[in-house]
Amino acid sequence: MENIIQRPREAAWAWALLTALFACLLLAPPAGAAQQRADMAKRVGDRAPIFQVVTSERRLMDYDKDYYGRHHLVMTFVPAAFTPV
Amino acid sequence: MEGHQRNLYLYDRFNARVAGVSRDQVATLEHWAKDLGLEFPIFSNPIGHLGIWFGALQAGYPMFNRTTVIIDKWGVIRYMQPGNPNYREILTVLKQLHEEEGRR
Repeated sequence: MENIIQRPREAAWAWALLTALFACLLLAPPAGAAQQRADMAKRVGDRAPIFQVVTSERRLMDYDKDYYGRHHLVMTFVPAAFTPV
Repeated sequence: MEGHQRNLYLYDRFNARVAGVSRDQVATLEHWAKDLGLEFPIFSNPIGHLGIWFGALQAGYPMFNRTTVIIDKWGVIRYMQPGNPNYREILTVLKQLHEEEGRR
């Protein structure tokens, strides 16, 4: 009788552990993600990718149309707005 | 950004354009640019792909590191420097690019 009462409790624990393990596997970044990110980074001498972004002037900037073959581009990355640079 | 604003006429002389890049939304950047009186754009890049490409976004860190990149008019990266912008170095690279362009 004691075994019958305890088994469902053990099974519940096992299920909880399995669910937690599965969630960890789902949420964890895939192996080599950091390496992939490093591989994506460009170096001096590489060709810059063509990109489009929205600007503070509320327009879509297209590197290909706005700069390529026309102007050199100096880009400064900043941590956040209103931070001193 | 104020330094870039001060050097804007020099960048123009070397056929260069300048832009800031941040992960903030456009409205925030618009307000910031207006506050500083910037006459150049700041690119809004919330997903951060530009930061990944140009080495300004570290894994697990939500914001860009200060980094300056110069792309020449033919789309080749000619300068990448982490940290606050070194205006003297930037102008030296731009002068060199301008001279190269003159020789073509």
